[in-house]
Amino acid sequence: MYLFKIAARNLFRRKKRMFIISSILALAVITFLLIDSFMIGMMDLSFGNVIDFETPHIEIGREEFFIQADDGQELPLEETFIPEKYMLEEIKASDGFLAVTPVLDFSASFIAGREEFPVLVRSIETDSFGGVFKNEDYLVEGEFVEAGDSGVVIGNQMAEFFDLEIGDFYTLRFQDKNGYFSTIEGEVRGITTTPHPQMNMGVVFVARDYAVSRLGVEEDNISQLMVRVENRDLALSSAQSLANKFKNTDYQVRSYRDASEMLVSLEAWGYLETYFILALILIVGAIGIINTIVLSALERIEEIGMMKAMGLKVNQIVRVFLLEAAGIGVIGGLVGCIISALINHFFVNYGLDLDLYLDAESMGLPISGRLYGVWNASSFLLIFILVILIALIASIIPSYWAARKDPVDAIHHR
Amino acid sequence: MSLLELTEVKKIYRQGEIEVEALRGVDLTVDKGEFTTVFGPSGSGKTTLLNLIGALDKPSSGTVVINGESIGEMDKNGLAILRRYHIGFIFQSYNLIPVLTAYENVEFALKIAKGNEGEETKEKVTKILEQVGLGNMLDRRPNELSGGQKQRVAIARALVKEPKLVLADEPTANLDSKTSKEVLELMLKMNQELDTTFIFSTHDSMVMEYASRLLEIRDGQISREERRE
Amino acid sequence: MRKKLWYLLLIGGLILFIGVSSNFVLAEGLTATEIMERVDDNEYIESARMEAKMIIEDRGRKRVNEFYSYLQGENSLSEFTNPRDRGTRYLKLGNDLWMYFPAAEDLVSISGHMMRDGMMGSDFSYEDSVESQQLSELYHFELKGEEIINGGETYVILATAREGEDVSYYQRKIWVDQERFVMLRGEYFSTSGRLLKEMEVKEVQEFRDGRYFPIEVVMNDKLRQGSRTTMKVTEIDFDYDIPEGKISLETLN
Ligand SMILES: Nc1ncnc2c1ncn2[C@@H]1O[C@H](COP(=O)(O)OP(=O)(O)OP(=O)(O)O)[C@@H](O)[C@H]1O
Ligand SMILES: [Mg+2]
Repeated sequence: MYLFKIAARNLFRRKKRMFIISSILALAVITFLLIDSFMIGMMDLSFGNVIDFETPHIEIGREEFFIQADDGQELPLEETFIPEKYMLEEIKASDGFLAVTPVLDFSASFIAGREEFPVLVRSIETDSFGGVFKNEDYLVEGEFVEAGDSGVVIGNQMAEFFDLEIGDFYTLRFQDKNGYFSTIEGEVRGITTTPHPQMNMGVVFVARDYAVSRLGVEEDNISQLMVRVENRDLALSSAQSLANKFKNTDYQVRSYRDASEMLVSLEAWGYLETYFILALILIVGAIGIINTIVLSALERIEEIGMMKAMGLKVNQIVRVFLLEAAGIGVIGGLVGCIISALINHFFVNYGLDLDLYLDAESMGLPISGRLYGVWNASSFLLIFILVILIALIASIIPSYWAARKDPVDAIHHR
Repeated sequence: MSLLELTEVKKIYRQGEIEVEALRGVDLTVDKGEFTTVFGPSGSGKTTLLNLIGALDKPSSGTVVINGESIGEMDKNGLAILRRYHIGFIFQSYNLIPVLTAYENVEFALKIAKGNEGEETKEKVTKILEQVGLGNMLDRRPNELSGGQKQRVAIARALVKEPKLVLADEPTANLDSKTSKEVLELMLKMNQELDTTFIFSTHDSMVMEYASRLLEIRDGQISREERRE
Repeated sequence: MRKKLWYLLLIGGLILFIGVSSNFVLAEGLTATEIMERVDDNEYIESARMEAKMIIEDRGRKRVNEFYSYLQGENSLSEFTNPRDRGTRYLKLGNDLWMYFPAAEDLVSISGHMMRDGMMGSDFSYEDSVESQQLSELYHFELKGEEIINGGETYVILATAREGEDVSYYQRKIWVDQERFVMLRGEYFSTSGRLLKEMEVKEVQEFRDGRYFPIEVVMNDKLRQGSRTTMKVTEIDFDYDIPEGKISLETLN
């Protein structure tokens, strides 16, 4: 009890020193928590956009199709398939199932006027598409894809690039299943502006029943079954259980995470980076704490001697210093957490205008617009405990060094 | 049985190549209730002797037996325990803990030795501080006290746990003569009231007047001894 | 007597069969396949060294690329010599294409959507250049009639891709010079019958052994507005002895 009292009071003996060192710790905490919030917010938004516009919770297709797609090759029309009844039944029976829609993706060159640009053409089933994807909600001009119609829906960036308006003509050139050059032509029906920038440039939507006649594949062929479930956690577990069910087929079941490997590794990198920054700042903090303890010990050498003369054991004196260091940790951690919470409050509620701060698109991130922070209680707890722990660990050696001073030297030190 | 028994005690300090023989064979017995003064010129070994008697240090050779225990065989924690229960210290520079109040400094020493005894602790601390004349300054921090007042707190701190032995190394060196006198009278009063054994060192001839036993030390040896009434 | 009648019947049947099986026999008695085989004899390059110019006209702007090539069956190696592209090399081995850029010391394998793109921005796609087999191996032919181009008589032949062959254009309409047996015009169609490209031969030259070879060809990508590319052969040697290993990945960089 007394040791605690002494430690607590010692804490405020050198206010300036204490202020500096706990500021460093608080800064570490703030940096970590804000980057963490930013990171999680960014990944959340990224995955959200991927799910809403690119690859929903679960996709099922031929293994070879995904291999070639991931490899950046042209999407292989030979790897399309006609979904079997049992597959659809299994999908509909999975946990949290909401909707399923078939798509037939293929690679083509989009040609309008004198320009040409490689795109992914997503041929869709107009009735069920909206149950899985949100593209239609982001239509800014014209209409969405209609069954049997030759019209396409493109993103706003593509419209800008080609200088296209509703009703303008386009041609899609591609090689059909037999390798023959083939075309689809018609009018631009609609323009979307989604928060997923890549979707606004490289993707064209067309009615599947119209496109299929030019592709040299059978009428019911599709490349993927796209599934939406209730939430992301269920997506992972249902993808896993569907994968088990289709284990012995050449179909592959992928969750949104499997499908966006780039994001997943980006996420890992992001965390690594965050922890690296954290480690750096904490090292500085640790050095500061070692310094503080050594300085306090030096200026309290007679006190230490007196306490030893009064019969305190080495461990008890060590405890005084450790408690003091922990105190610095608590103050730094607490102040850091409080300030972070205040800043994060704004970040969560008002967000950041991404376009002002970073070029997410050139980083390959599927986000645009405003980025919002996230509350992550476990990060707050983690960093708070970590800071105290670091303070404790950093002070162990200097504390022992101080407590082992010979009481004789200590008392008569002059 | 004597409270303290020193036989053939030698103490050699080593500082790199140089060896200083601070004590060169000291034999000494001190009984309970004595009020002993050690005096001698600077560098004669007074502090060294008190450190050994106070179990702050071990002799280079010879034995120091305190309250029946030989300190030569004890480890650091053993020495700490011995000091904790049986020995009180008073130093020239007071060595109070600056972040604790007068009351807390005393209470801290008591709690280290006796643990928390609740009301009894409070009573004891208050009483001893009243005895040293600081009943109205319980909540002052050391930096709010004068030298004499600080030394009174130090005395209270040394005495509150009712140790068998109180050691004071030049307790009046930093005090003016009037205050020195008050402090010494206080110690003497305590010696008489509590029958606590006091050993203190000094340069000051006035201090010697209070002693019941005088030990003169020269070049690390007791050169003269005198008992008075 | 009976035997003679037998022969007559047999010969008559044969003629009838040939007529029915679409190899329409014209006055000279050549079938569409025979015509195209003679075209291949002229235009298919066994082995040669060639120097040429590619003049790309796009939206009023004009660019000239110069290059020389070693050609050997399905393989070729070309290097550009005009200042802008000097040192850029281009290797084709069967169906695989690579480009080498000297400035970046970068070797690029051309695949995916790049195959559909115009070669160096021209109206010739990379995919076009891959098709270097004899046309008679890739297509079935049907003689559609005769037309006069620039005062010369031509056969009009419809070529339809043979199943299983690696062909980019499902159908081609070809105009073949009746005297020299070179193509004078070509129209390339998609499966759905859309005209994708138009080829026109501006100049044909006679070489040793009476071989005719088109030395100026204009290609026009019908899907891209306002562009055309002229290929002009300035020098070609059909007997050139290409050193062993010249056309390989090693010589590319
Ligand atoms: N820790 C030490 N290391 C080395 N030498 C020491 C140490 N402490 C004391 N000495 C030496 O031992 C001798 C005795 O010193 P000590 O401090 O006991 O004398 P003292 O009588 O207390 O002197 P003073 O009246 O000045 O306090 C001196 O020569 C001193 O220099
Ligand atoms: Mg001394």
